[in-house]
Amino acid sequence: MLIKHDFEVPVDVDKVWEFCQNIPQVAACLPGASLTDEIAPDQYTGNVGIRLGPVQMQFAGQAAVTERDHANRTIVVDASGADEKGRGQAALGLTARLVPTATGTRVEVEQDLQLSGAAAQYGRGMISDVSAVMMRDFATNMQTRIDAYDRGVSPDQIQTKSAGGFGIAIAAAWIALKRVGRRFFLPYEPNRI
Amino acid sequence: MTAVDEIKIGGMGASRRRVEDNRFIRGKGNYVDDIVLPGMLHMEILRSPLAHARIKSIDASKAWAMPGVRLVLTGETMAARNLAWMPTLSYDTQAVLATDKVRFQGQEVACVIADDPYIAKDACEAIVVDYEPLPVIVNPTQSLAEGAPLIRDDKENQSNNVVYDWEVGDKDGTDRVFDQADVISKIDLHYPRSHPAPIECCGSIADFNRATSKLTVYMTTQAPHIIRAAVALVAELPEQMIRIISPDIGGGFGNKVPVYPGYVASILASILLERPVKWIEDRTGNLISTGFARDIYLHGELALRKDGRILGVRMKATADHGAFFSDAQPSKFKIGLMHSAFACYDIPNAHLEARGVYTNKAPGGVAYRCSFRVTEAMFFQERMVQAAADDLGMDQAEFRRINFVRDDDFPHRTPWGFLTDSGQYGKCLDVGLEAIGYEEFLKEKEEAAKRGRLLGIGISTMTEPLGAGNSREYDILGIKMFDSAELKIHMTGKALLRTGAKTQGQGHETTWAQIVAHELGLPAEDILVEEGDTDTAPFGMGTYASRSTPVAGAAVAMVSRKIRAKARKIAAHLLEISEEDVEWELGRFYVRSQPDRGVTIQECAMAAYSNMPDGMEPGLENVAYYDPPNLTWPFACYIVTVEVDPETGVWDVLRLVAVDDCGVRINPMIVEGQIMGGLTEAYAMANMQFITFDEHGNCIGSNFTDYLLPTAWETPGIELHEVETPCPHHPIGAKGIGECAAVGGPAAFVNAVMDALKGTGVRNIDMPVFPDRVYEALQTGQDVSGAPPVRTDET
Repeated sequence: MLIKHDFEVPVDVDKVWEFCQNIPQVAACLPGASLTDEIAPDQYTGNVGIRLGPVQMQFAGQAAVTERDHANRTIVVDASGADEKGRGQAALGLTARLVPTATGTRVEVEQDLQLSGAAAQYGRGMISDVSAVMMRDFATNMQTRIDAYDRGVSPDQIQTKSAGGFGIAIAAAWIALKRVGRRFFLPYEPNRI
Repeated sequence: MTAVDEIKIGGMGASRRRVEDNRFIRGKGNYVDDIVLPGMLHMEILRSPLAHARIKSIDASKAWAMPGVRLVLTGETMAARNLAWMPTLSYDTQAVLATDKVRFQGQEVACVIADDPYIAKDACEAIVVDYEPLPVIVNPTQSLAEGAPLIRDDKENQSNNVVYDWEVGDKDGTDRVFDQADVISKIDLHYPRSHPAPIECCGSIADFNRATSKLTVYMTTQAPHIIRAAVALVAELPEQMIRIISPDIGGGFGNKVPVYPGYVASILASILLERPVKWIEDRTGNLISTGFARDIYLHGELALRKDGRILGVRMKATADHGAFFSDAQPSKFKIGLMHSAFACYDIPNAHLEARGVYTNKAPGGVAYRCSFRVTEAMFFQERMVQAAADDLGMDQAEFRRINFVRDDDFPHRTPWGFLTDSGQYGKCLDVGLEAIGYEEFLKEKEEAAKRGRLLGIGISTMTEPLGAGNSREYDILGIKMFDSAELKIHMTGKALLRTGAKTQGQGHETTWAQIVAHELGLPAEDILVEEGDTDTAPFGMGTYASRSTPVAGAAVAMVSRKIRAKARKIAAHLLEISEEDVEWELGRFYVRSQPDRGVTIQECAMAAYSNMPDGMEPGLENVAYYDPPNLTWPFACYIVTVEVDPETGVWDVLRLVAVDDCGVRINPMIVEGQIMGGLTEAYAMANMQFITFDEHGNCIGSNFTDYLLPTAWETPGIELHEVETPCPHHPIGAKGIGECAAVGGPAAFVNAVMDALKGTGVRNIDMPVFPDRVYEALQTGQDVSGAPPVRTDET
């Protein structure tokens, strides 16, 4: 499943790129994610907790930066993990590209997500919507962190949102509703998400 | 004194209230999960999250260490007892617990037996399985592709993913008529995977008693005697020491015919632990691992003459069987009764090719409210017929009528070898067309089209083979498809009837008593009906394929007649006349020359125990085994009108007319209930029920949020009509009815939507005909396929 999102942060592109080199800082922006260990340069172990409707899952696994293209400001991360209770597995290929804009930086994120088990069974209809909400929170968190980083505040003192709960459900439901609404007003595209 | 009034005593034709409902509506049913035995343990199954993966290791040490855990079973434990694999009803093998690799998502990997179900579930989650993912196959195209991964690498001599190739009919003769045809109508169809989803999931309680060596298994099975035989043959236990009890069952629809790993594991666990072990499946387990239905692709062709006659049929079917070929079907035909298609049409030449393939999907193709692929056969038939009528530019009703087998043409041999014996096909169609107001609707449709409204009418007419056997052609693992009834008349004239069938909602406790009432004149309320306990019921093959009334119901009539024959001798003795002078009217024997001098059947019953003639065995009991000479062939005509909203693709059913000819009706109310239930499921298959898979083999439709069942809210109103052509070989003239509407119904809905879309260039939309598929078809002018893997926006 290919999910594409982009968001803007009102921060200079070089500053965002510099921030992106600090993988633990970037991971901390993702709601529900945490890195537990750096096992080799650019290779980490960590957890992602997520709630999809009735199912709450905790994925444990590894992430590795497989590509860093300074010229095009593109970073590629491959991650994979399994639910701690054996209810599913996830593999994610994430490509983030930074594009300078008039007011700051547009972050283009492409996620190639493969799910199995309960996450795929229960969450299918919600994955892209939940993902959109997570990206929105990710952008907000990233901006907060870059600001804090700039001011020299220790990362441990920064509070960011965790994934799941009622907020995501409401926001995802709203996105789903809007998608239905769009059908009536926009030209038909069978593969629009 | 005169004969009793048959309707008053609840005999044939009485719409008698269902006696079983008394306990069901009071919550007093006795289902497997209601049964609690002393010292009972609970089993939970760990299932594979992946569709295709090699098992590198299983670490159950944390599960074993949890308080309350009594036993952990894995493939290794089963293999040590030669139970890792079991034979299927289709002569293949199926993994009980996976040893080498998992082959579908939801496959059984391990079982935990614990003091309560919660501990068992938690312990399952503590088992660590290391999987190495393998490439996944979710449709026949992938399965048959060059270099496709081999799913069944466990089988010797299996070098590809083909399960079988099978054909029937005259290929050369069919090719010749296709060469002579004026028009050849072609269509590609997919009958998607569906699931019976009975309200009660599967479950069992195995209770092995070491002291008596007796194994008692309470289980959700539609065929308890077959299970007993299978356990005896597979586990090599002595058959007299095996007792299978099928208590109340909350719906079967074919889903409860196969043997599932959960049953086997619970039996082994009980033997090892010497305590009762209960396994109750959850909804997701039921939907992702137990017997699915359908999932078959068709390329169909009809050779047509300009005047509308069908000269020949070609069908090329590809069946997706999932990871194991475990179809629950008792015929010798690899693709079930697919070749019963077109039985109601007079077609001289036909050829069918069928291929079965393995995929990484759940196994267990079951006949969901049908007789082994008959639903697919009739759906394909009626979709092909409508497409052919369109290709010829003919009226779809007229096209059917000129090709029907005529009323004076019975018995009729179909080109694929079935023998149909009775029916009034044209009359049923007329009743349906009259009821729907066919001509008026066509005018209304034309008027509506001028204002941009899309109306459509769909017809489905079919006769289907119900009630396997005869035993010449139908068996399960060599056991012939007969059935049985045992009737015991007590001295007070009350009776106990047991049969080898097993009710799951069909109302046997009500209708069997009505057949006895019809044959003997005993009030139906005086007859207790029991089924489902192999220690007490006579050997029978169970209930599925609409075989209860055609086979077990016939046995009930036959055993009643045996009883009546003995009662006649007793009556002669009581009346002190010779047997030749005894006449019978319902409920009473009398002297031919003095009709007012007689004895009731109840008086004969008392005499059987207290005043029998010299030399006669006491008692009034008997048993009958019935092997039907042929299948029964009910006919049905379903007509649906719809309106499609071109702006949203949503379609609404305007009217739904059903005309059913199931021969003589025993309990008209129950028959009507069966038809309404069947049409509800037909509507669901056409409109919403959808088990599909993504490219990774994840089952989409694993819960009732995604797998939609119809409720009273969305189910359309149903108008019922009746034609009666008695079955010529059945003792009371009845034919099967349980499945007709679910078999014939889906095509009527799809045909109606396709009729509304006529002229747009769209020839087919695969079921379920979701609004977004209709919308896409309207926008693109092209057919919409529903084959997996599912698109990411389709959920």
